[in-house]
Amino acid sequence: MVSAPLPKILMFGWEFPPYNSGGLGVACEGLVGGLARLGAPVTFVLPRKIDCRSGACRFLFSDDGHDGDKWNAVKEIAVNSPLSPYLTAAQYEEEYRVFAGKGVYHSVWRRDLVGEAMRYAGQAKTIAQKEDFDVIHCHDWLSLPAGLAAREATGKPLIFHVHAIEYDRVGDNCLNADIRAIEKEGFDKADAVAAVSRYTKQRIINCYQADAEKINVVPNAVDRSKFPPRAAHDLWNLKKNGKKVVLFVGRLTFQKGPDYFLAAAKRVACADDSIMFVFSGSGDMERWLIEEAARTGLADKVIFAGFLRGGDLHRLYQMADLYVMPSVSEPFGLTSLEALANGTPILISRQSGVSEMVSHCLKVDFWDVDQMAAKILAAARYPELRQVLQDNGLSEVDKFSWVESAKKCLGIYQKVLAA
Amino acid sequence: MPSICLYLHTHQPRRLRKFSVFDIGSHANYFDDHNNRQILERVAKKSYLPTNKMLLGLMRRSKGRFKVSMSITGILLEQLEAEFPEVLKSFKDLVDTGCCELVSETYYHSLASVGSAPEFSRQVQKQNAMMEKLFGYKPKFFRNTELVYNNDIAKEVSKMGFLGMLAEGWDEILGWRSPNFLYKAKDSSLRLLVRNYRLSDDIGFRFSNRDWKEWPLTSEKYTDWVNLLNIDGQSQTLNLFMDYETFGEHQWEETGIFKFFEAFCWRVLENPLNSFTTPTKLAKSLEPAGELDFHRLVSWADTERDLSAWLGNKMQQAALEKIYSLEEKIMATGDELLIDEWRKLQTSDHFYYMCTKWFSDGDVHKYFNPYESPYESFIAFMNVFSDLKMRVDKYSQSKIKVAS
Repeated sequence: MVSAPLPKILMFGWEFPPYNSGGLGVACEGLVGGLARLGAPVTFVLPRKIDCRSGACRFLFSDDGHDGDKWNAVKEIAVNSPLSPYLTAAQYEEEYRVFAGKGVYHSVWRRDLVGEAMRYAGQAKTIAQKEDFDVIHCHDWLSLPAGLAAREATGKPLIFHVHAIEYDRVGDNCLNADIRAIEKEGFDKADAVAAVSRYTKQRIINCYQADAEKINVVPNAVDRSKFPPRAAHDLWNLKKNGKKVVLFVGRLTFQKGPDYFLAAAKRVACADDSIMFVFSGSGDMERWLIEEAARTGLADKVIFAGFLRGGDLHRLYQMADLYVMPSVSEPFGLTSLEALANGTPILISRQSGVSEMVSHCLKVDFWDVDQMAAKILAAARYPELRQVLQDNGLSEVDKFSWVESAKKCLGIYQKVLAA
Repeated sequence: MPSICLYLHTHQPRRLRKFSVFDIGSHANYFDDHNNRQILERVAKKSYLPTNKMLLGLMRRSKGRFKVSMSITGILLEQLEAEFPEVLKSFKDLVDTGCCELVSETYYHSLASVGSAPEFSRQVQKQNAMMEKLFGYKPKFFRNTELVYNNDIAKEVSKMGFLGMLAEGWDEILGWRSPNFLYKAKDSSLRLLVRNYRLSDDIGFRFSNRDWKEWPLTSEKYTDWVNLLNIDGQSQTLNLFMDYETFGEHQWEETGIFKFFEAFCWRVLENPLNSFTTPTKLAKSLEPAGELDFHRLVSWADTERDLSAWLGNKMQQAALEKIYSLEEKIMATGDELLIDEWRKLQTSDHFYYMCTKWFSDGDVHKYFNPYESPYESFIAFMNVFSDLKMRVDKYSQSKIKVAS
């Protein structure tokens, strides 16, 4: 281990459990926990005051001390708030479309994501000037302007941690130019970049012509000790009737490929009518999916369970005979590790970060709906396949550790501090 | 220096094509003919042909003092016969010298010895018939798939009329005894020759490994090691058992494997007192030094020397169990084609591809594994099995109709 005193970290995030809408908050919590285990002091900054609890770090909220300010009103924003990091920026731009690049850091709250990120940046400068720290670590484009502002104010090195890029979220055709520009600035100016997978690293290089030398792979992890033990879920009537359950968990949006999953479900249902498909999550494609399921005669095969978290989500994973992650582009894919940790076999898209790290799973190209269906059917049909996937999956998921990921971050800090 | 008993084994399976769940019931071709042909062509070019050329040269130039024993699975021979007759001829040329002993095994390189005793016996008979047909040869020695051996298998093999059998010289079984003697099987007259795995693997596995402290292995060094065997006593034989593919495929020609091996053989032959020998010659000229008790199944694979590479997980066990569960019904059809396809599914390679032992360490299990993962391999196998089972079931139904 490191003998020199550990660097003090000022970390800019966007969400934190239990107020998270997806994997970003979960990953931040995990990483901060890993750093705490190594004894590295983290001050975690969030844009809005929320009631988060963690023994692992000290929280700061960029809206603190601004009582009466307009933007303070968002402090109790719930999960499905319009400021979720996972809703596309395009939806807000009807109201404001003023962002003109760097230099617009003013603290007027605006209801668009880019504006909010800029508002956050304005506060970040003040925070950075007051705080005592050695390195700045920010997560994704939303907190990147804050990280860049802190770097500009103090000259301390900045690590830009990438959980997803704009190309993952919306594909090549609907790119938000402002967000891409912010990300590009991050890749150019950050002292180091952390990418959650080799897959993501390569995409950063390809899409932003970023310097490969700068980019380090820091995988996400799960802490299986925090998962509930696998229980018998014979409670579900469906399972009692001998039905098999195939599960999708994620935002119902382009990036996650729920439409490919539904198309595969259609193929599966033609061959075997004992298989049920459960979607857990919400998103901009929800209505379309419901209508499409009905239109294609799958209404009685598909269940929309809504957005679940905590114990409900764990139970859902455990009830499933197979978890499918059909993402079109998945920088990492934390849900598939959650499924594995719950003892559920997984079928994952090859267009994902986890597919380069997990071997005890089934893999498929997201667009290959026939293969997806064939593998779902095989998993439903052959109990020994599920059994061996489960046994080996459970031990493989233990390879992932937040402490190991935190060690990789410490390595990056030391490298940039020495530079 | 003891006599050197060199034994080479070769086999190529009929790999399955990626038979999807949706193909079940189509009764389409199970085998990836194109890929199988390509792989065989490559192995023949890189290994079989140059190895046979080397062996033939050694035999001729030593005027018959160089000898070798080998086994070639029926399932490989039939592929050679159909598609690469010139390669088959190069094997025949070796046998015709009279310096080459052919060792029998199961035609399909199967695990029938642990799956079904009657099927085991039938596959050995089929292999013997192939030896007779292609080479005019009656094997006297037997080797089981992957050297899988225990006392019970020895009894079966003895019943089939063999003089002796090859097995792994595994420390756990040998105890203080040396692998360099002729033994006999427990409570049986079957003669046993066991592999000297250290000296065999120095060539078969370690030869080109640059991390090995003995790298590079020269023929001088290796000959010195072999000579050492006589210092502490009277080793009778050095049993070097390895894959044919050691030459040119596991160890590429560029590693110098051919040159090394040829030079080693000439070093041995330099001394007129040294000799190469074959299993039957040894068994006929020596008295067994003792009896070996193989109370558990031992193979020549991996550090465990057990069957875990083929039957270590539940997918492999289920697949094996399913395939032999069809035996009675499928034999009752008397349909040669159906029975042949069923037997091709018994080839151990299919089970090997399903091995999950080292999979997460990135060690994709072995040469020419056509699958991305053991799970894909199990799925393809079970889909094919399901299709085959439908064919068998149809057969029994139509028979019932005819009968009634």
